[in-house]
Amino acid sequence: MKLLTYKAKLRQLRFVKWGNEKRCKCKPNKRINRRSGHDSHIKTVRVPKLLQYHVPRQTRYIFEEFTKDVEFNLNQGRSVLIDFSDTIRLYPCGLLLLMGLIESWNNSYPGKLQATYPLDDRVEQMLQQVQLLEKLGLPARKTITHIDVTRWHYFSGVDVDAGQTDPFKLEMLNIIPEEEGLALFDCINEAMTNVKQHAYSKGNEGGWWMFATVSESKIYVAIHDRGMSIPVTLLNRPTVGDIFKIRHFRRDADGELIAAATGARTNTKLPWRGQGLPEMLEFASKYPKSGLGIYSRNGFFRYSPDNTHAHGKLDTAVNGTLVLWMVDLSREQE
Amino acid sequence: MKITINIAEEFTRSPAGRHISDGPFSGEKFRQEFLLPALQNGSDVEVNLSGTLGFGSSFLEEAFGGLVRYCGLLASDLKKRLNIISPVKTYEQRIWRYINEAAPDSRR
Repeated sequence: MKLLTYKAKLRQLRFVKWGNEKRCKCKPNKRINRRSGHDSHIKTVRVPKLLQYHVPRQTRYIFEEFTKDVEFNLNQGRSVLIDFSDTIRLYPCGLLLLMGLIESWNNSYPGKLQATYPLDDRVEQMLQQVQLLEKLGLPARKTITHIDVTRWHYFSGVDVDAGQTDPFKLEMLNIIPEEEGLALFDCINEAMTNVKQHAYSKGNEGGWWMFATVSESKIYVAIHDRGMSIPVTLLNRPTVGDIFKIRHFRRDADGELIAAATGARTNTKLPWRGQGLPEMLEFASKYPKSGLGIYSRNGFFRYSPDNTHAHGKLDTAVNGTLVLWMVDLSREQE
Repeated sequence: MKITINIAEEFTRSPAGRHISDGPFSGEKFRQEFLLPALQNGSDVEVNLSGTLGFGSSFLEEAFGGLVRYCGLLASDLKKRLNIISPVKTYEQRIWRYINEAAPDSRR
């Protein structure tokens, strides 16, 4: 490829600019993209076809690339048009992270985010249900009827207000015995308490978002907050082991710290505190096909249905914590 | 004389949270507004947990363990005067464990 001198590059840029202005026949500061029909000063970023984060790794990579693209353009001072037209499926993990990110972007770059309505009816209903379209300036226009949308309970808040989860809990009591149900509700209540007590302690207020559903014998709960991550919370009062891990195994230190939190390590060092994640893990381990996934800062911890634990490093940090909990109450394998 | 407190009817069906700052139906609030006044009255207290939709260990620990830790009550005294009615045996066991394990807070 021929290398251009600086002057030649400038000349080429001027020529392209002149060509664009001539084609658009509009003022240079209000150019319209011929293909999309949008203001060309707005950068269009397409949301992935599958909005998924948890697994597989490839979709997580695609999700991260999408969020990096939005952030890069917002950092450059551009407005961003979030284009949902390719999206055909939303997963709780991806949607929760996106909701947190959009709240954060709206706070940091007010008025810079816009969006297009999704082409997929189910996707639009879901985005409307969680009021994400409204946050992106698009009025609600659908009636929410799709079973894949209505079966998901969506909760959000700042305080520990377990009362809003009552409809979900009552639905669960229709399919599971009371004793198991109450143990499960304890875990949900405690997870909410954990967010308030650990992620947003010391006057640092912030929200949490939760999706929950019951499907036959399976219960899914996903919770996300954008407060202090688990590694940061634990490192507020590090042990000698933590210091060693950070110095010698820095790459995977966050994963190890999250794994420690599931074993009731807590920043308060008080034995009766920080029981949310250990209780979730204990409950999941009672049922053979259940799982738990925790993503926080640069690390993750996974408990898989085949009873294996894994922790590791994330390429891109998660702001706050994402907890994905699946309990299969069927006892076929026992 | 015996005072009965039905959490689901008098407080909420979904109690959760440790401190009052956590949310509207926390363990600390329940202890201060229901449990402690009833116990300070000198009467026996029966706490009925039926009809609730989960607690969370923070709520139970703060409400009941907090009686020993912050309010100067003794576990031995509570054993004589406090009766827990629960649809699930584990709640009763956990409450007594929290009471037994709680130590008076010297900072208060």
